[in-house]
Amino acid sequence: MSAVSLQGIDISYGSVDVVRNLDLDIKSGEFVVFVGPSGCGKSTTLRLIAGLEEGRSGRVSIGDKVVNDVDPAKRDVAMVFQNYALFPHMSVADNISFGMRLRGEPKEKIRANVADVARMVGLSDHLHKRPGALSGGQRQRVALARAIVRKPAVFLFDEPLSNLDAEFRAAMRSELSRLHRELGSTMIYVTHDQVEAMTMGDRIAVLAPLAQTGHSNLMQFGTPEEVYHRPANLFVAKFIGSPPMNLFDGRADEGGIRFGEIRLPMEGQVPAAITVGVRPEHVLLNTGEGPFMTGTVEGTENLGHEKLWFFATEIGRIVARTPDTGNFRLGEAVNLRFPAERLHLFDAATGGRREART
Amino acid sequence: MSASASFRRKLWPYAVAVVAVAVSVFPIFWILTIALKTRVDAFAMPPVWFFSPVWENFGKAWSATGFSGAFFNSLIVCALGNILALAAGIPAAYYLNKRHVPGRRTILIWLLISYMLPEFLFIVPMYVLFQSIGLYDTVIGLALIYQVFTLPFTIWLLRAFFADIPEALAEAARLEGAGTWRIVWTIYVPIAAPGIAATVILNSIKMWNELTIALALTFDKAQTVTLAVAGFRGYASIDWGAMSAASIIIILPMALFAILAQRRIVQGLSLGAVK
Repeated sequence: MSAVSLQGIDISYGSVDVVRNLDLDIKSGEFVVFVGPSGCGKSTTLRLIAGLEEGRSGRVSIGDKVVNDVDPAKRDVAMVFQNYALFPHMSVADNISFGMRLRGEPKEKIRANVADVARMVGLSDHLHKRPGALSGGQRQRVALARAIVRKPAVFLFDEPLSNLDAEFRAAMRSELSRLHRELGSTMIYVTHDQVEAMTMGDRIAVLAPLAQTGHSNLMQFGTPEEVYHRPANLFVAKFIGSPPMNLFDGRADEGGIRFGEIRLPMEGQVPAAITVGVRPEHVLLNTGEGPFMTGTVEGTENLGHEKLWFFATEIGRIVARTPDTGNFRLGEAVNLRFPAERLHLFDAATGGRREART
Repeated sequence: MSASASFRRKLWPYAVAVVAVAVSVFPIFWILTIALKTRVDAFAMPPVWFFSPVWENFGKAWSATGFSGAFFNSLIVCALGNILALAAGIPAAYYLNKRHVPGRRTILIWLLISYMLPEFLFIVPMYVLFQSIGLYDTVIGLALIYQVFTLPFTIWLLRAFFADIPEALAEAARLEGAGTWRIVWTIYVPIAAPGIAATVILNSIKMWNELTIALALTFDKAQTVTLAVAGFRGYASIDWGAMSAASIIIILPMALFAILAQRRIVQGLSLGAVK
């Protein structure tokens, strides 16, 4: 168990900067998820922590040791790769024990440890098989077992579930969470899947490609609740949540902001252009009180436990999410209300979050 | 489509294949018949199609001066040549697959060029060099000079096989504490084994059949089979029967090798074609 700290990390491939000025403090025993679209540097950063990638500048510490110049094998980290990276010519047992055999540990100990870990991940009956004879889920377990058997201070996961089908993925998600509780190790997990990020992470680091932000990759580092309910900027607001947050233009108006027919008082300096956001589940349909705007039902998607409604309004398309009870006809006019406390305000110029006081 | 048209369409590929096989096998067949005929039958016109085989030509060939020695020389040259090619080619192929090797492209292109150059270009300078450093007429010398074509071929082929091995395997091994040598010998080599087998087979065939360089750089001690066969051409006459028998004897090991290894070759050459 060890804390991981990144300070002022810059990574570039040739002349292309991938990561710039990244600071991140991960607590000992924490499960941190790096999430972001492709090209945001999440895997690169993970590989930097593993020692498989070199940064241009900055400092990587694991525990209280700066590991910039430490060999990957001596960093006390274990990594699970996206394509599992199993050795196809070795049995499951040999895959798991590869590192121990390399270090020349006694045969008895190797056998006992392999058996323990295999039991832990449910592979006891498959130890003699080659990876080629296993299903995707089982291969993932072998990769996991190979990491666990090292008892590393830090686990690094590079999109480990992205090659699995949906059913397995859900199962492996909860299994990884269980593993984290049992082992208590620090875990860093890279994914582009926000569901994985939200369900597994103690904290989530939302990263953006430099091409989109220009200055730095880290958009927000917080708990899933913070990231979802208080996105620090437009990027996070757009990236986290499915369907994504409704966003529309507002403008300054007499000490507040106005969007469509709705006016909202706001304290402090109000930016001239503001982007207003509201999550689909926070749009009230024909209920509540106060100002509203009219939306025409354009379409609907029934997801079973809930329904999505698509409305055409004067300020553009708005998506609402309701329990499966609501029912509207196509073309029906519905009153949409946005509870003030559920609105997110962003400076349209900088993308930064603004707090509204009402 | 009528039934007979469909039949003709199906017949076509077979007809082509039969012709191709016949053309390529005929010389071997002809040599075999000469080896198995008596001297009189061998050159009878019209050819004698039915005869009772005689085996004495094979005995004569094997016991002819220098032939069995040349046979073992060739085996040693092949073995040594393969060992050298793999010992240098495996690490080279591994490194030349890495992105960050300076001059990688240039090295690869040079290797290809030296593979494509005609062998006799090397002969004159090598003759002088070999004479002066004592490698002339030695099997070690031959195995070394054969690296001119085996090594580039080995590197190019193995590089392709290694490229199919996901880099994450090497990284996973590295994280477990494996150094480069260990990664190459415990991960890359076993996984690319079919590819390595195919490389060895193709190199062996090339070295076994090589004539030009062997002719120039050996005299008698390190003579190889191809030269030994040519040796059946005497001053005044050619012992066609013994020569044919000798030819069959030297075809045998490679044919056997090819048949035994056919699956490996196909598997090796199509490695990575299907994920």
